[in-house]
Amino acid sequence: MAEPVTGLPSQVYTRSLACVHCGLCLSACPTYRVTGRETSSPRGRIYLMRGVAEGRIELGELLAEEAYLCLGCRACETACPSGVEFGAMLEETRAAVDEAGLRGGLQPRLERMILRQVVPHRRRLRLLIGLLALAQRTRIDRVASLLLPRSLRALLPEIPARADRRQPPERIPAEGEQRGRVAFLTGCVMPEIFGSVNAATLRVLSRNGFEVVVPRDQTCCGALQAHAGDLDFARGLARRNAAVFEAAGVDAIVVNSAGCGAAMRSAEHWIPGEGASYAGKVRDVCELLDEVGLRPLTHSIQGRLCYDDPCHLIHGQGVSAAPRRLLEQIDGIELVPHADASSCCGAAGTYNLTHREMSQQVLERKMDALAAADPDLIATGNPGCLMQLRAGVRLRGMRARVVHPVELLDQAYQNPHG
Amino acid sequence: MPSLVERLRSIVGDEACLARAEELFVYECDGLTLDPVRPSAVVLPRDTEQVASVVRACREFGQPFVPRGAGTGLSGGAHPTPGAVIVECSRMDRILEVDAGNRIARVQPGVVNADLSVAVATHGLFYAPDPSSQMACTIGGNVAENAGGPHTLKYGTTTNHVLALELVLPDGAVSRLGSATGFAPGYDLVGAVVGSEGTLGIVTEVTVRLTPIPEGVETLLGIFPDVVSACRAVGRVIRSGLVPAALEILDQRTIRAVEDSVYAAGLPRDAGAVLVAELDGAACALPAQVEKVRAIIGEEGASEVRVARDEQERALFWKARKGAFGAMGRLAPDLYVHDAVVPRAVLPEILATVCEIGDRHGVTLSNVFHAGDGNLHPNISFDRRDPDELRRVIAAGTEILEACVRVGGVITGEHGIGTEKRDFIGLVFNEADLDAMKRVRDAFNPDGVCNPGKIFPTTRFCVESNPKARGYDRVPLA
Amino acid sequence: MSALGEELREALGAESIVEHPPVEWDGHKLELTFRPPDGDRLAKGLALLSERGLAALVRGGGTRSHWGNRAERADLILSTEALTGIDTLDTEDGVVHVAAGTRLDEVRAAANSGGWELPLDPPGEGTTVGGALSAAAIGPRRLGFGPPRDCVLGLEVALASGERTRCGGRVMKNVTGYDLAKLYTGAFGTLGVIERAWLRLRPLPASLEVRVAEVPSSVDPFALTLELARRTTTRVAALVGPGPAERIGSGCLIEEGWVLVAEFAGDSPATERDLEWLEGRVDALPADADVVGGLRRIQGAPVAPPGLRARIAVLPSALPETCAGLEASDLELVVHPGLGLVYVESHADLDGSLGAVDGAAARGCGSAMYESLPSQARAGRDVFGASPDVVPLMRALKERFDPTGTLNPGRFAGGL
Repeated sequence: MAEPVTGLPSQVYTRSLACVHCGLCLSACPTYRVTGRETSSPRGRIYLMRGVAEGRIELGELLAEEAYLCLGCRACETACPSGVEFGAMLEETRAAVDEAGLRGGLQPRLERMILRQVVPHRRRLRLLIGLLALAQRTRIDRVASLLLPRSLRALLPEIPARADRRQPPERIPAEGEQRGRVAFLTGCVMPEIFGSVNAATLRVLSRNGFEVVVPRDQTCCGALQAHAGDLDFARGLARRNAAVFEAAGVDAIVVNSAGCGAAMRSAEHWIPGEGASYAGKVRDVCELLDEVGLRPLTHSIQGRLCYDDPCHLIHGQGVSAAPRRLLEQIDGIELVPHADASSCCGAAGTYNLTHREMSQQVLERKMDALAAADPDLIATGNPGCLMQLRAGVRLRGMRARVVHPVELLDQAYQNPHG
Repeated sequence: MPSLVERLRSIVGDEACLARAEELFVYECDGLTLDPVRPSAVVLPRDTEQVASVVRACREFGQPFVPRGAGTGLSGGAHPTPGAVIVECSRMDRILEVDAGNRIARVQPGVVNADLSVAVATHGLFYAPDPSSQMACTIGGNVAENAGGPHTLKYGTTTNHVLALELVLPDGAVSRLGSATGFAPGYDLVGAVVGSEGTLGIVTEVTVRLTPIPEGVETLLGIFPDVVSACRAVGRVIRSGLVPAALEILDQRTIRAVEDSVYAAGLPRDAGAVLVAELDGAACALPAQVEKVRAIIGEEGASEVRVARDEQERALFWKARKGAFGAMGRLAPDLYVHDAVVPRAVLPEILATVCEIGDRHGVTLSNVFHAGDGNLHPNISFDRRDPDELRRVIAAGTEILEACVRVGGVITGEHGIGTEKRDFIGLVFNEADLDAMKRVRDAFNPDGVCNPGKIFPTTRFCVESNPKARGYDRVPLA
Repeated sequence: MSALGEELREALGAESIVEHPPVEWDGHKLELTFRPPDGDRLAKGLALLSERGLAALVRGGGTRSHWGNRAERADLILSTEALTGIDTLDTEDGVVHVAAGTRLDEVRAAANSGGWELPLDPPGEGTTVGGALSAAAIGPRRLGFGPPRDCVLGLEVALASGERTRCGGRVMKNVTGYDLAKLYTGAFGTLGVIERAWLRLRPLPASLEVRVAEVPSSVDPFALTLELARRTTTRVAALVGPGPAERIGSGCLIEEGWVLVAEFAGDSPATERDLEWLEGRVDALPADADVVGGLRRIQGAPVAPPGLRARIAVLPSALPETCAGLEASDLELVVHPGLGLVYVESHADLDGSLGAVDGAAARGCGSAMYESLPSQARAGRDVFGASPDVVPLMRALKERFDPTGTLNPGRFAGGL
């Protein structure tokens, strides 16, 4: 049968055929819930994609807008009984939109420049972060940030001291009886802004009997580039990482950033064939620890804890029970459910910078639910979400500390404050 | 003189009026993707006053208007006619009042069905009608379609839970119908509006009855070798004097589609059919009822009976059941969902007939249905790009409906007539019957500007000889 | 025989027209009754009456002739009493198809013998299916049975134009076209004459228990009875004042306060538990179903002038306030807290009683319907208490279904 394709890659059309237009995705979609517009819902966006693919409408302004208004949270995939691969369709559509030159202005070019030229290059990124750290230490940033809107100011992370931004060793031995050998993705933003999370991750893995290798020539996972429509560049990064991690000869590739994990798992469809084995080895750190069983924790942490699902962990990788099961094992922690745990916080990579207003509206909903649950601690396993939720907590004046689940596990093993 | 779109923008604001070609393209259909028609504009009002002003503006410009909720309807009830303005109620999504003491709630029409139950759960209450699309569909849409769901067997459909309505009449006047007391004097206008598919006005506020969450719930799963024996078990449960909360059947093809989906519940893929029986009420009465149902299911040939161990497992069963329709997308790109109802005593025979019809036409037919109500959902999966398959799908569907009507049944139990079955309504009602309905429409909507083209036939009834009367190439009424 | 009588006899057959001594109805003297033996004749007769601009007062068993507003016009009585018979009783499916003139007790007995129950229990010996549905008449078991509309699956209705129409069907769920059965049910015969009905039955309860109790003054009667009404097996939960308590044969003679009447129906473990619950709160005495019958009986007959009976509907939470003003007057009350209903009966001081009832309904933000009211008090009053807001829509319906005002003109809510 002839498969009409106009302006969109043929796999978008093939994927769109799985949608029977039932609408169960609507209420799962943050942008639909904010706007009430079918056009800003997964079903509507799929309809647009299919319409373009069938030649019923042109690849134009609206799909270009919607492809980027979408947070890419993939909550629709979790709601979809028909298994529509929306995340993949979105990346492919964004790439087509960019290809067609439908994203005008300076921003996309600047964004692409940064994502291609800075983020995947450790030294350049360090330099940039170093400058930001200097600005923060000399308080110049306060002057500069006065020019920024409050919501954006709240987003700026505190750059940790240089010591916390150190590159981890290449190999960390397992403590006690060895349970496996894994490789660790350091990520690009993580070591610079969340170096302590990386350190905690490595300690917890080692404590749990894993020998960890940190391949030096690994690169960025490609998530930010793919989400920004630069699928080709992301494929290149994935190829390099696939080669590097395959060469490490490990049982699993451990990731502590949900966005990176989901992207690495996507290698299966980014680079069909060659990416399958690499993608198949990817494990979120919580997922792995839950699978093998956590070694007994030794210290208690007191407080009410809300766990908030990173979209790219729950919807992108189907992991939601594991982190909760781990955290529940910490003595003194009271895991409190909140109404909006599985929906997007509005961070979505660089979305909180490119679509500030929508990002804020999406965050508001989340913060309402969190405020109602009144936690002492909020745990979430993704750098973007950590920054966004910290901003939300700051703007609301809430007392809760926002942490990565692994930090709590680490604390419960060695109580660094004690 | 401003254009209609300019007028609409002045009422709801620029951002709440969509008129770009691609935006209108997305609104050309609802849950039914057949027969799409693009509207001339889409407005997203926030309150009753805006709806009334939009209606008056449309009248002024001589354009019809179509109310829409979440667009999950399966009969095309929210399909526009050419030039129509869609009044999308998704932004009217506030729960205005919860009166737990009197067990009522007042809501805007865009409130999502499941959200209402979540919101009142802290009072030990829920909103009983639970259509399978409840995660997305709205109360306003439920009112229009008189939506049902698996639990209507015990709790009734939407009409049994709506006490009062605020309605913007097709002339733009705002009317309040019914009473929160449940005893409104005069004609039962609420009863007439519920299920009128948005043809009598635009509902802008709904007062619903809330139901106490039952003290105990037990859910059983009977694994049957075939769908006919599962139907026999249903008949026996009905005759036994029990009033189960739900009696649902999934056939093998449905089980497999669901098990392939995110809603997999561990149903056995080789079972011919699964019967889900739910009993609820006073906890002390449930054990005996469960035993009674278990015995019946066993006697009718079930190879295995499972009882849900906890709320989590129960939720899993129901997710599987409610995700079944969407899961059909795994079988083929398109799905034609039927919604016939038959007397419960003839279920075994009619199911055998339905399967025979499907086989004879060589179509991919699956059954997932509210057996306790006799409400069948024969779903035909197909690919509309194959004209021969499409023809066979239509022929099989028509024969199924005719067979159901022959045994005293009707052609829709909860999805509505809409555009999809308007040319089939003659199977059930004659001209005088339809004329009585038109009198009601004319009393509310005399010039037919509100949701035109729904319910009433547009073509001469000649489906059997002319498959095109399905709507792919309509013959206008001479 | 009158000229009209002769003409009708000629057109509709001798057996359709009965001439009788004048019957006085709202000041009209009626000597003819149109008593169609079948649906065809009913439809033909209606067409003829419409054409001639004649008005008919529609009746079934005649048990509610005292209901409604004063008839504007009346030329003859239309009686459905000859349209009788149970066409189908499907004991597998729990449905019955029955002609409008069939007495409810006949349907009830047939259903019971098949293990099913008819969920309608309006007062009035000889109430027919058509009459009960047209009046949406309810009895004390309304709490358990639900409103009459809930058991109506389908109707066959003859319109004033002479068309015989159907709506709904015999199946449990149905959205095939408009839900006209809802409109006809409770329309007081003003939109068409019900010829036949498909009714949904429910399983006979395995266990049935009736209790009466004096409510001690230490207990809040409304809160107690509302809670009782919300137990799973409660079918009747009524508070009965001193006068009615005696008349229904409760065996409880009280000077003031309330007697509680409760009926439980369902599976025995559940009814027993609800009984225990009640017995833990009041001294409940076993009674037989006759007490519920008594409750029904006293609501059936018209009250002799200058007396009245009214039904006030409010939200349950408004009951204490609603009743506070009524207790002060010399009025007899039966309250159904689960339904928010107050039945008020008085036997003297018509004006005072009217004022008390209207005032109570207004206080409770509800409505009052007068079931029995002396003729002079009905003049110029809408005994149904319809809100003026909905009258234009109701009138639009009436004009389209019965443009010539053939059916019960003026008797229904809003003077339709």
